[in-house]
Amino acid sequence: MEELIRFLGRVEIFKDCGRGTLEKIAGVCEEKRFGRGAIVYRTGDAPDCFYVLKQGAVSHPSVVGTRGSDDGLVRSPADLFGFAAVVEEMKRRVFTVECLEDTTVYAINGARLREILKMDPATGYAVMQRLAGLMAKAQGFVPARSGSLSIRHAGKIYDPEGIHVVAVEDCSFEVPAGGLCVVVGPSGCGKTTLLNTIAGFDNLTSGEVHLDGQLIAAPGRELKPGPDRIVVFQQGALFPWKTVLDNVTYGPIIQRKMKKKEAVAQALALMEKVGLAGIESQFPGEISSGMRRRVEIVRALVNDPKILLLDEPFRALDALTKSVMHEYLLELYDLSHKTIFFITHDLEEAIFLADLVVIMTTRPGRVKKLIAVDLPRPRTYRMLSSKRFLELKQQTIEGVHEEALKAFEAGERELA
Amino acid sequence: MSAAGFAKWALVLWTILCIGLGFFRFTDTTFPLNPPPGVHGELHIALQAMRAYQFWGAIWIAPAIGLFLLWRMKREVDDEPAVRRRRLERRQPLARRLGKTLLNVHTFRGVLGVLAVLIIWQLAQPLGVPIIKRIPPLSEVVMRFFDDRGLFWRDKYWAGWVISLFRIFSGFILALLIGVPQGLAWGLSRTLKSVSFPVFEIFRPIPPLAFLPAAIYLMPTAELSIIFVIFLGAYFTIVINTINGVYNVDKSMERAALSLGAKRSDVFWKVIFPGTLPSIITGATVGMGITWMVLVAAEMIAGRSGIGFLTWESYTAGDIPQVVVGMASMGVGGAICSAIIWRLGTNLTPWRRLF
Repeated sequence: MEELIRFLGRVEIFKDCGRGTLEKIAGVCEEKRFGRGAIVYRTGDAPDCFYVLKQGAVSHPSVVGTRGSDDGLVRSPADLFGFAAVVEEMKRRVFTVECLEDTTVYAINGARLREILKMDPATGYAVMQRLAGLMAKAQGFVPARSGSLSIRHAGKIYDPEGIHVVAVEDCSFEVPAGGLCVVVGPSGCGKTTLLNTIAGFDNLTSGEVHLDGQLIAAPGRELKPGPDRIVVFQQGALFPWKTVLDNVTYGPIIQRKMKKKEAVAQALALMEKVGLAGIESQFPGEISSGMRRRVEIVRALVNDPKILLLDEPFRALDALTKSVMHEYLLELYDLSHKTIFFITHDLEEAIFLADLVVIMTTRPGRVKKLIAVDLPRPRTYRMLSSKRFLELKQQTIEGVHEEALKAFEAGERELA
Repeated sequence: MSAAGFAKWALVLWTILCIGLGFFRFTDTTFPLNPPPGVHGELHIALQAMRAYQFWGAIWIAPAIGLFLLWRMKREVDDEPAVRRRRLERRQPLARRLGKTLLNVHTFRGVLGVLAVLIIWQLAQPLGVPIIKRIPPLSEVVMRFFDDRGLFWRDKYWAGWVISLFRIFSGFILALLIGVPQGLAWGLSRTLKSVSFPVFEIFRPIPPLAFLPAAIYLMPTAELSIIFVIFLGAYFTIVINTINGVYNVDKSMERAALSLGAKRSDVFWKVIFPGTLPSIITGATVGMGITWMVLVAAEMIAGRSGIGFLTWESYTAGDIPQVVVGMASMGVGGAICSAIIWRLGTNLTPWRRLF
């Protein structure tokens, strides 16, 4: 017993836990032996146990935060795998884990581990959060299955009363499923036009937009805005006459996808998970603007969209709140792996969030430059001063500045 | 259906039934289309109406209180437990809430203000304040109200209340029933608006009272002409406010709803209508004020009963204290009606209590 507790103390994630908690965890540990080639669990199994490696090696991509090894396997003692057991909503295993040699592991029941951690207010919550983060990262090894967006030669001409305004012209780029694409450009360059077409509010005058291979916008095509691509608006569009909870459950209920009771239960669970518990019976007018933004993103995610469209969602927030919101969005992104189409004029924000930065020219909007951001995920604020980040920023600034000047000369005052 | 829902709807139906039955008594002389001949026909009907409502009010009150209590006690039972718990935590005991609404600094200031005006009114004559000194002092007005020939003891005064309120609410509810759908339709359809709005704009600047001679001439009875003029007073304001309300609903809200999977009809009922509601309530509040202004003038000219008529009658008799009694009655009546609208408004739009 004493040996086990000492062993658990060596596990990096438990190292801040007090002795009492470690004792309790040791109490639910169960030692298991597997022969070479044995399967610990398969993809799709229901996750019940969380594993600490005692000895041996298994085929599970090692995750930053545990010790891991260079070859992407879990092989050093006190490494962890089977995170899905710790995250309450996970119904299925993401990986299949096979033993590469004779292996001994400690299996810890996920539900009981959660209970134990909840009873330790000092460090338990932090441990749980880290475990959930590791889970998200482990999931990150699995590519998203839907939400690949393809914009092909998109063009939009506004022609009210004979004034010929070309908003977007021959604009093409692809966003892979699960990618985070950020569009930057001067005001009036057709960013929002593009977003409106993807959302289905507005049509193109030439070109096509495909989502998962399905044509969603093309000249003459009937538009169908719907819950597979949800927009979070610049000014915020929570319904002020509905409580936070009613706002979040609006989608599932109006689509008749769920009964009210189910929708409420689901929404409360999700809000608890993302740190919004306790405000569900308030009206949007009663909570802070940062909170409102979070609620709005959660309202979109509840519907399980293929793609999330964000139209300068953090524009009105102060710098501090904004930085918190970035981390929050990335956390949600890591957890859900939705494709995200994000519009902004804040270059730092763009590079910090994106896999792909699309720089658009001033009117008529064309794609000027595509910048692939190769900063590793998860991203932290320390990266803002890393060399690679500054290089990317320099590239982006060069692209945008020229356009901003043109826009300015064309009489546009604001870079937006 | 839950017990709370049952109690609530039973209360609503019971109230409508009692008002309706009272109205039946009221209309057994085919009022307001065909009043009996004679100068005091209207007064006769007003008296009947008053008695009818005294009767039905007495029957209404006990079950209504019971149903109301049942509703308040049983409601919220069917909510999600976590939500209910938090809501109950935020809610305080009835006594404290009442105390908070009645015994706060704002009520105190309000009472102080009213008292100050009453004192100035009382002292104006002895002190010889110019102009105001010609108004009979408060004590004299109160004495006139309660002396043995005072209006307090006269059926025609209380019948006047009933008939005036009946006129106000008939016109006002009619204005809501016509004005709100019309405003919504105009707000939603540009075509419809561009066809018919200019006509509306030509009629709108005409003061409701200017319609009165035409209304008396056109309408089959004087009663209907009064109601029509009151209707006009509230109608224009309600329509204009409703249209503006529709325009002020944020476009991105509609888009958000569509994006979340709402259908067109859902967008109307779940987004545009609640979004317009605050403006409708503003329109109704302003409209209610106008109805009182119009009422008095209409009754002075076309009526033979009602508070406005009593005031005019007292003036022609040279009974100035009684004129002041009439004026004060209208003030109180208007304030009560505004309070009702305000109260209903805050109940319908709970999210606006924040502002």
